[in-house]
Amino acid sequence: MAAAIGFAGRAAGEPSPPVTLVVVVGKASPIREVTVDTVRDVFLRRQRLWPDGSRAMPVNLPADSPQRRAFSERVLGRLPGELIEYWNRLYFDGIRPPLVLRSPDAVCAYVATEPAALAYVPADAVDEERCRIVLELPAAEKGR
Amino acid sequence: MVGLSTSSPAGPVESDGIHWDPGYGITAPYDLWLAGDLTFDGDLLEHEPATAELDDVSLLARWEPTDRLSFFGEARLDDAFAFVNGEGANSGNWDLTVERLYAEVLFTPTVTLRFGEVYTPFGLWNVVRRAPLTWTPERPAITEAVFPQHATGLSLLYQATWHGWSVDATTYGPAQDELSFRQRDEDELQENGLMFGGRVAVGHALGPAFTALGLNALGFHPAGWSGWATVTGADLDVTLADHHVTGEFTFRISPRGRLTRQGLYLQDVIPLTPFVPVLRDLYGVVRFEQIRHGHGPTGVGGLAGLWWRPIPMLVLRADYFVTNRTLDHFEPGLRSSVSIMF
Repeated sequence: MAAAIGFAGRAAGEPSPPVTLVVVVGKASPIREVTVDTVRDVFLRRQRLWPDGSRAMPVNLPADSPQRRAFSERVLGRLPGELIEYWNRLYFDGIRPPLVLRSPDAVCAYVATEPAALAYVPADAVDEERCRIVLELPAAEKGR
Repeated sequence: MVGLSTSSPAGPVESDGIHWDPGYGITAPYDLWLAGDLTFDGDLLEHEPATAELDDVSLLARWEPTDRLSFFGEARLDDAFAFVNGEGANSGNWDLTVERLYAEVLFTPTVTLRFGEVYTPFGLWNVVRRAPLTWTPERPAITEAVFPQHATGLSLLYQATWHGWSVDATTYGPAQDELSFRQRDEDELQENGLMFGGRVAVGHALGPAFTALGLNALGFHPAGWSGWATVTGADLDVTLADHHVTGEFTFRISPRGRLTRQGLYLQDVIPLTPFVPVLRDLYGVVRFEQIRHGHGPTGVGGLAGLWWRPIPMLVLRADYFVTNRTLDHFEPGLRSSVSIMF
């Protein structure tokens, strides 16, 4: 079991409860490990290819979910609302933001069927029959 | 069952493998993506007659036949219809231009090659230009008519993050394109020419802010010129506490070694929805600009405006620009636009 860390998502007006996240791939994925830097690049669509030549497919949770806010602040260095102009720029190159799925369960179901997918879910929502943890976000390292 | 959600209140439309997300384009089989927009402008400038026009119709297309290879194109119909106060309506020239057309090869996870016509990757603004999703209808003066705005040739891009430092590097050339700026002095001609250039940007968190600094340089040598003109600049991109601050500083040296254009802008975009909760995706924009043509007077100006996307398919923009003197691309008054995105 991953020794995942907890960190607080920044909600408007009041603090969110701590959110514990891990980065996951499907059981059949060739991806064995990733770094925080790689996760950031894949989710910002700066890296669109895995080293084996397959297309990297990041999967997000909805923008208003506390897990998404925490992930965005912690790994991408900005909240979802602060990335609007970034995505506007990429839109005009035809590069779209990551696929959004409604729930951690939907995320696990998707990555189980898509070997090139990379996603994050709360640590206590990992379905170990379908998902494999590839990154434990270290508590001491600041992602921003 | 995998649930799909989008930010569109109207919701996506799916039929026979074709997925339309209103405001964000159509995804079709074989990894084809199509999008487009239609922009109407209305200007009330202080020294010009009032105008209303169908400013442009754009079509974007991207096709990714393999994981490593993709093709991208942008076509634009300009000057379709205009009404000028005192002159009446005219149907315009209906100029159809291919703004961008390139093939993209992902060599490695960090290295990408583009071949074809791209927006010259100089600074922040030129690569998005007058698109509906820019924060103001008019681009800052110093980003206009300073260098060839398109580059046709090879572009090599490197993007990676090292220990939290994001690095973006682009080099391009030999590139060739018709120079799009007006003749400003005897050194400058409207002809095709060669161009080489590069850009490096580094980003990192500084406390609660994410900050990126870019450096840009290019040289271009149109046929008939006596030498190379150079354009150099720096740009800044900061997100902090929901503010988005961007700025660029650029100067151009003619083949005879004269400083023929210099200027800068600094812009802040502020989300206003927290103050007006009933209006979704409403932003305020303030911008300071300075521009100088050769040894002419320095223009100093600023604008305040609003950007509102009430639904994904609709973008409304309006701003008022004030300046100490009127120059090319530096005219005081009200500008507004309505864009419909498909």
